[in-house]
Amino acid sequence: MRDVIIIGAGGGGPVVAKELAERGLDVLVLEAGARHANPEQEWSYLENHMNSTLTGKFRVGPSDPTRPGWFRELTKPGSISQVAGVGGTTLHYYGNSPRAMPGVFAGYRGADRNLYDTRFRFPFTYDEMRPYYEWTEATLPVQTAAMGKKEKAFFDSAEAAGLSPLTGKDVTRAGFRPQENAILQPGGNAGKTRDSSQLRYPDATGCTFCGHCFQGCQIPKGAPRNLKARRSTDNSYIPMALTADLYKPGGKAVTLLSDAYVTRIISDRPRFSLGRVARGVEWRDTNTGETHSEEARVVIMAGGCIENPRLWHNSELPDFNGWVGRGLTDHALDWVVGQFPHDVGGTEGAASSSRADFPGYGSIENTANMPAIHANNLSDSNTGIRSLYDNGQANTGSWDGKSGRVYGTELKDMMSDVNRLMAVLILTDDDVEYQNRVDVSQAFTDEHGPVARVRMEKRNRSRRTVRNRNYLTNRAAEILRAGGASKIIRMDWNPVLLHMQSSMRMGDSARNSVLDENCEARAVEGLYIADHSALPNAIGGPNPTLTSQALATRTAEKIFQKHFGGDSWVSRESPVSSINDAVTRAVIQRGI
Amino acid sequence: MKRERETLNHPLNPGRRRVLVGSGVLGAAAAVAPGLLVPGRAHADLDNSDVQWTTEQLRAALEALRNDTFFGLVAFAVPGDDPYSQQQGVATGIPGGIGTRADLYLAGGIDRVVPLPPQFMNQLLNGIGAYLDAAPLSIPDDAAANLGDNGEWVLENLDASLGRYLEGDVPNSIMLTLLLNLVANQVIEPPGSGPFVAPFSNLSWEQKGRVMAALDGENSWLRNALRWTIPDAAFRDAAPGVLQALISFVIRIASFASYNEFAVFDPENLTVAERPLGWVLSGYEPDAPPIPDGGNDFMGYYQGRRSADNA
Ligand SMILES: Cc1cc2nc3c(=O)[nH]c(=O)nc-3n(C[C@H](O)[C@H](O)[C@H](O)COP(=O)(O)OP(=O)(O)OC[C@H]3O[C@@H](n4cnc5c(N)ncnc54)[C@H](O)[C@@H]3O)c2cc1C
Repeated sequence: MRDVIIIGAGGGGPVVAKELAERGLDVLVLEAGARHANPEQEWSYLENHMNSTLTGKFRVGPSDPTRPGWFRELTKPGSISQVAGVGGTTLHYYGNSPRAMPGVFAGYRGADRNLYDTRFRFPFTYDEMRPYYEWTEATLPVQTAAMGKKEKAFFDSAEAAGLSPLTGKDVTRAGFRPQENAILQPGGNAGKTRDSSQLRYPDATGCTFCGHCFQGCQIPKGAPRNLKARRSTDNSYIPMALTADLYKPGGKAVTLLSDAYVTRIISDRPRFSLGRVARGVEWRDTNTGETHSEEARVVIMAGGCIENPRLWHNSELPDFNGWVGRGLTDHALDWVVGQFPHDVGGTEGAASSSRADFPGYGSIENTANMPAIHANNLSDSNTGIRSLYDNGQANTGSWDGKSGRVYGTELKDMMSDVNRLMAVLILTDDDVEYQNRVDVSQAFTDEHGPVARVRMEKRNRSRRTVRNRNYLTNRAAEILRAGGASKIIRMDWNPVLLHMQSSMRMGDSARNSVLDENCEARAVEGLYIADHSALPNAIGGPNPTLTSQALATRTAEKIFQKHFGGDSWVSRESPVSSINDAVTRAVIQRGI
Repeated sequence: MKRERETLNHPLNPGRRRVLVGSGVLGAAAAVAPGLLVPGRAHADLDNSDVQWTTEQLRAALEALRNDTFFGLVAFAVPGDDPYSQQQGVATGIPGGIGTRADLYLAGGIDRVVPLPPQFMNQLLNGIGAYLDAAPLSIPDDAAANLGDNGEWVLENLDASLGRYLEGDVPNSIMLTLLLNLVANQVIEPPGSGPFVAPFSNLSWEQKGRVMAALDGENSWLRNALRWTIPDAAFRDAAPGVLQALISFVIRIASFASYNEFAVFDPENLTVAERPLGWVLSGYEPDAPPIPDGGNDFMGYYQGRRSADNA
């Protein structure tokens, strides 16, 4: 019997794994996807090779690329951007690590308090969260992003549009700023040369401005895994979890099994109780098809916003209030693009190093993209193809003409110089809405049971969600205009499920939450959730991973206290950074 | 020696007949095996094997139809200097998506994007037939007449082979091919003619837009109409989402495919063998290959700030 079994090694799972490994617990991590142990040998900088949702290295599917991916049913137009594998969707992520808007926490008293999703706040205060942010920021670590051409162009445009810079980690008013990124900033030759022979570690450290964050971070070449620039969990928390015995007195390395798809959470029903107690899990080896099971004192789900509800239903766990899988938030993403008469660095440097925040509405950020993803993003819309049809949903605003897909010669013209494009991603502070949910398909089953079915009612979002999205797209277009864009397009994307939160939400009310204020399942004792699905809301629009990792750190403490008789540590100890020399030595010694 | 002719005693369902003619299957079949459609050869003179489309021939015909359709699709997304772009009346002086072979990418991709169980596929295709029965295409009743005296018989025969084919695993790309061409016939009246076997590829750029408008979007009337012809309740509920996944996939991925590296990918060295056309078209990485391990765009820190204040 293990102390703890963790299901999923994505953005959240490895955080609890590392924290509990440092406490000396016996932790088993089961990850459905591939391990990616040798990025420099196995990865490339190429968009299709790495990112094709069908055959790419980073997809939701088994590690063998010749086998089909794992299908999810969508009931409405949309797309899902996730990755199965050690690192999960952080293999793709841009490392942007802003804190949540304080207004989404209990006890918030700011003058703008009614602007937020007031029905679904965090069940505790921002002040209680702050030490967990600090701990996580030091562990990753999070650093202020460097500036290149595209950041300079964005800052100049934001200033020209009347915004002023923000200088703090806590967002208290609207403004623009460099990203707080989980990326090691450039050192040595990094960022200064395109000569690959000068960019090997240790001649170059941190981000080399290669422009390939989306393809996974393997730079600087030759660096130990924990010193790769971007701090996706495969480069940060996982190397720590696998070496906790070496760098931390009293620590115990976790056992990590990849290609291990958990198909069932085993639970008992105690006499005289409607609820259950978690006992362990069953999983399937995705290579051999063999099934295994193991028991544990605590089971932690960290399979992400889509797979957790599926696994819950397929395990026949109780759903007393009907909220399992409900209240999925997705930041109602949208995309506003400006075409400039000059080079604005549209493909260069770290994927996103500048942003603007609008408390009560959400955030926007400038992104760099390679050509195919630019073209892809210009071809997604809920409002038809510009100049051909609009599905009866045209949007007009500060951008040029109607929203819609850019196609044909217009696409070819927009794409004629990708470095002249400034692409702004819209992160809406969207509401927790009962209708937006994940359950299981009635029509499709795979080798792991009925597949997940995702409903995102794009055309039926709350008034506040729609208002916020329109507000942000207009602000983005104004910034692009002020910066001198000659043509501005708003896409009005179909749901692009890339930031997902709150499908198994924590909350203070048993009527509308799956998890209690410690992220333990209300219906299943000893079952916790430690990924983005546990978040109580859309955190006000900022990118969610830091917040979910800070929350997972808090959950690790709660588990250690309740089930293993331990003490909390975040307020009493200093965190070990994932780039600490002791960790580097441990990573090299273990050959990770 | 003459073999006993297969008796085709079921009347050819009018919906299916429209699928065969309106989707271009008949035309594609004729292109693959022209000898089977010799005008003037009397029914009675024909050996059964002469007019019996083998499943292999039919498969080849459907693949030819798919390729023709996907060329038309890719030219719609990213026009170039190719005949498909010229046919749609929107072409440019330099290569487009067809030059990057985005059609191959699309066809391969769409077969993997939604793992449709065979029963689902079958119900969907039959549903399309049933729907067409109720909402006829403008295909002349005598469409089979110019096939010669035995035109009707040829059609029945083709239908029988299609029936057999549909009992196997039908790739999504074929289903989508049939759908796009049928819709092409339905929304454009009278259906245009042109150099290509696929009716869709003979349309103008604006007309292709009308086909997409009929299939795209949450409230697409056509998708919803097709749904009601599917007998199985679970499949019926899933059908609009599944069709949408296929439609939005092709619209979006025709662009992704036109600008990515797949056509020149070097799997040995995990790089590109030459600069992909999509990079040329977009001005990306002028000196590639090789692709450098870094850039030289580092300009320092905004206002010299290396960290944010922690309250
Ligand atoms: C292009 C892109 C850019 C992004 N940029 C940012 C950013 O800059 N900042 C930010 O905060 N966020 C960003 N995100 C979002 C961020 O990556 C995700 O929010 C985050 O990774 C989610 O973490 P998670 O643990 O909830 O799920 P995931 O990271 O998706 O991890 C879940 C893991 O669990 C595994 N799993 C699921 N079910 C099972 C099972 N039954 N058995 C075993 N294993 C299972 C999966 O295979 C997966 O590895 C970005 C996302 C994308 C796609």
